[in-house]
Amino acid sequence: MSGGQSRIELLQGTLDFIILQTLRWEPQHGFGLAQMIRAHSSHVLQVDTGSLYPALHRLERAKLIDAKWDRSDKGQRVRVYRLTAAGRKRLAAERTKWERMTQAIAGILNPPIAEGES
Amino acid sequence: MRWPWRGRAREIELTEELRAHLEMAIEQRIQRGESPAVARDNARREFGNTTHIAEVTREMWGGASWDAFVRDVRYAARGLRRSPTFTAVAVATFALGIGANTAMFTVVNGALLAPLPFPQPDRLVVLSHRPAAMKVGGPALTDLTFAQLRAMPSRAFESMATLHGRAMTLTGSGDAEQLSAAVVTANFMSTLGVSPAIGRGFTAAEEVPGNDHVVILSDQLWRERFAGAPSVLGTSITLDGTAYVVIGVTPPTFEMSYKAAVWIPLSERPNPKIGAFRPVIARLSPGTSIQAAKQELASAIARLPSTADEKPGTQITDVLPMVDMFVAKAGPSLWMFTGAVSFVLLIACANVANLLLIRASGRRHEIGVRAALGAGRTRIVRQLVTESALVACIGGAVGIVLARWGVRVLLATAPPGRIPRSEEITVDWRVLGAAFGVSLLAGLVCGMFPALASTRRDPREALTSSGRTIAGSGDRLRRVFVVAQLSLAIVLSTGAGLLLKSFARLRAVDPGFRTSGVVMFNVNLSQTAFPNATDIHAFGAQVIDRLRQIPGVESATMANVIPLAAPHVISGLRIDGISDVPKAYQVNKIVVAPAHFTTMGIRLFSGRDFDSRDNESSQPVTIISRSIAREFWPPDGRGAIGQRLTENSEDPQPGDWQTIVGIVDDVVEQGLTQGREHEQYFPLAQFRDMPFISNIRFVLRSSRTVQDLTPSMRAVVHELNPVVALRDIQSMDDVAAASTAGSRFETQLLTIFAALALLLASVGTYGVLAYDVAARTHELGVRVALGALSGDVVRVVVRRTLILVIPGLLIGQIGALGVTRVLQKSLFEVTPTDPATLLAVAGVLLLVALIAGLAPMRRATRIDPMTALRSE
Repeated sequence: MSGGQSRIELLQGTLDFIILQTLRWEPQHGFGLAQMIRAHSSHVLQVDTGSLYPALHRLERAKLIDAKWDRSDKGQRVRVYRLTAAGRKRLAAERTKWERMTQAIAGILNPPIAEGES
Repeated sequence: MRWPWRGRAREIELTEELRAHLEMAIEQRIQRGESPAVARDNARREFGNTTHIAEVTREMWGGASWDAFVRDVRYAARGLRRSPTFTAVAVATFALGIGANTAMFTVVNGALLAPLPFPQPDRLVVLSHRPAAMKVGGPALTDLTFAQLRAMPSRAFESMATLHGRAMTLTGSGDAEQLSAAVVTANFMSTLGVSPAIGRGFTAAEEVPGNDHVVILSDQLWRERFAGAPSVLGTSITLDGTAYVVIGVTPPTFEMSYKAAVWIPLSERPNPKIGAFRPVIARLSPGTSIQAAKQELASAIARLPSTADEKPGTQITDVLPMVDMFVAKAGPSLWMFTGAVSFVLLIACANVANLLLIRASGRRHEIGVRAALGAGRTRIVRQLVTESALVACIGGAVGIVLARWGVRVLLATAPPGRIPRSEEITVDWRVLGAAFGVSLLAGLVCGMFPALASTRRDPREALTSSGRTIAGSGDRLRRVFVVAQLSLAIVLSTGAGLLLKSFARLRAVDPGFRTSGVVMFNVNLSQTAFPNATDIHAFGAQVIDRLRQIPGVESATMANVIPLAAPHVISGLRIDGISDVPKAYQVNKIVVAPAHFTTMGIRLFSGRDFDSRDNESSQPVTIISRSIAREFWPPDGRGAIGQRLTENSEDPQPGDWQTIVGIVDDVVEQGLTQGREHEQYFPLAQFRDMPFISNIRFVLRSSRTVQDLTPSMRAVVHELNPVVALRDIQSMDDVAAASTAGSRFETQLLTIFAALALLLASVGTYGVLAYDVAARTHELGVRVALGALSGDVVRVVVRRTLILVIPGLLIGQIGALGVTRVLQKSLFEVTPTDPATLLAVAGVLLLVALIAGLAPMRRATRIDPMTALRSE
């Protein structure tokens, strides 16, 4: 489809964090999650179904999320994932880590004293 | 473990989840304006390969899903098929180890562990109250104590019963036959919870003399003598000349526990003067513990008048589970063999573990590739362990087949009575379960070490290094395994060596008589047919006379007691002119006919044998054995001839004295381990004490075989008296063999186990040495290239062998010193720490190890340096 180069392949571990973060607001099925992640990242992050479902099942097995069967708005039977208490805790920890990481990376990209601009 | 059906449902759910995703994607595209066909194509392309996604997702279910397990098994099976030699050796090793253990456990299970074949067997007990000083016999009560106890009301015991055996002669239909009879209280079978298959059991009224001529037949006797016809009920059979009415037939399974051919009620009143000890069984009231029963028995016995004069502390009162009575003697030695055979399994496990280690080091590259491709360590370990478990289970299956055969051989070679309840021994679900469990455990344990050791390294090392192996932890582990194997093999071989030496010593014992060329048979002379001692004298003389006329018979005689067979009659002595014969000086009293000593091959040192001059009217005579003569007429005992002796009675009458007319050699009486004893012989023609001569053996010296002589011997006896039955027709060689059969059996069994252990340990040693040489081809090649002679190469291999053998030898011998003590009771003239045996075993092991090292050594000396160095 559109603009192949601007998409970023997700690093391992990143996807888990993004899924947990996305499920923070409301329970969601796999397709919905993929849509939301793409929308929230302004179409930059591409979630491959071949990575999404293994990640969902892995998180489920780790009891960070749980799943149950439900009906979608259009009456389709879908498997809906929801954050568990353990998932929430993990998310909080991961968030702190990610915030520090992005700050650090941002710091490296934009050093306080930028060369040749002051 | 996740169950297969649960996995199936998940599988379907996963497919549905992925399909829903795809449909929603198509839906969204159609809404955006794409045509349905284009939308479907695009969505599919974006979605990717459904099967692949399902597969990677499934892996996240992780752990031990059924599918993963099946995949592991398939993979393992493929791997095994690819290396048939490894598989064959490993399976054979496990099959031997598990087979031997399963066979042994089958016997232990049937003989010791399985409950008795009666209803509610845990309520069946054996009662005992006997002097602590009494060494022979099992738990028992005197008949008087039993009768009194039975008459008392009891809370703990629902019923009490007793039995004892005796021989009875069945006459009437067909040949006279001597049978074993069980004399029981009327409630014996009902106490066990058994009722006759047909007919009825005894009633209390039948315990009264006069009403007691009723009999219950064993199933076997009923089928053999009465064609299994129910019409036998109500008819009479003749036992010891008396008519008994048949009232029932036992169920066939009852003979597994009790071998008696006929059952008759006990009507004899106890004689308060004698007090015969009888085994007593009882059924506990429901809910009564053995402890409570013991307390009640003790307090009841204390109240009995017959026990009033017993000193406290001299008696032992006990209530034991009945199963103990069946297994009492066999228990310890069966457990000992179970222990011994478990060593064989340990050696087998060490062997397979070693094979796996060697195999794993050959597969380091493969394992490295798998690790590099992302398989976790757990995953690889699981894979490897699955493989060894699979090998163990196949080995176990083969082992069970071997075990079934082994149990048959074991039971067939065991002397009668050596293994209790042998009819009940079968490979049942418990045995199968145990065999499967042991196989699985063995597979897991010996797979685990190599798997952990071979996955410890960094995969990069495996991938980058050349094929040459570096000594590492796997190498050390291999050595530890071989040393352990050798140690275990030493312990078993030492045990077997001690038993072999002991058995050889036993066989070398000179019993004082010649066992070869002697044939004998037993007759029971009932009082109805032979009312007086003179009848027995006349019958004995006539039989001997006719036996002597059988062609090929050199001599014939009789004796009431023969060496190496029960019973033994022992009593004290009183010697004319010697007042201080100690009471403890006991001699065997044996009644014989003339020619006993020539027939048995017992040396006559001086004097004469009994002959026809010694009869009822002549002067009473006796013959004594040399040790008695030397004891009282030192130094050489010759002075004994013409002296007089009698029984150890206080007031001997003139007719009680017997004159010594001969001195013969001492003979072994009770068993080859017991040594020679003192004997005093009496001529049958002068012996009048009926109970001692109602059961006698006729003895023949002949070069003909037992089978050959049997018809003639039968004919002789039946012509003279048709109601006398011949029993125990056998050669003296058979009697002697039976007396050492227990030792022979133990020796054979342990020798087989030791041989298995040595075989397995030598295979293990060979494996490691062969691998060593193969792995060091390069090094040895360099040495040869640098001018090492083949002698140097041999020295290297021998050194490697000794590095394995010497620690194994030391550890094994220390272990043996600790363990062989359990053999103490089975050893004759050999101490459990016999240095010669230890040394011999060490020699054998060294030899075995060097033979195991021979092939690798030859290979090492043939290494061509050029090929070795080029094969990089």
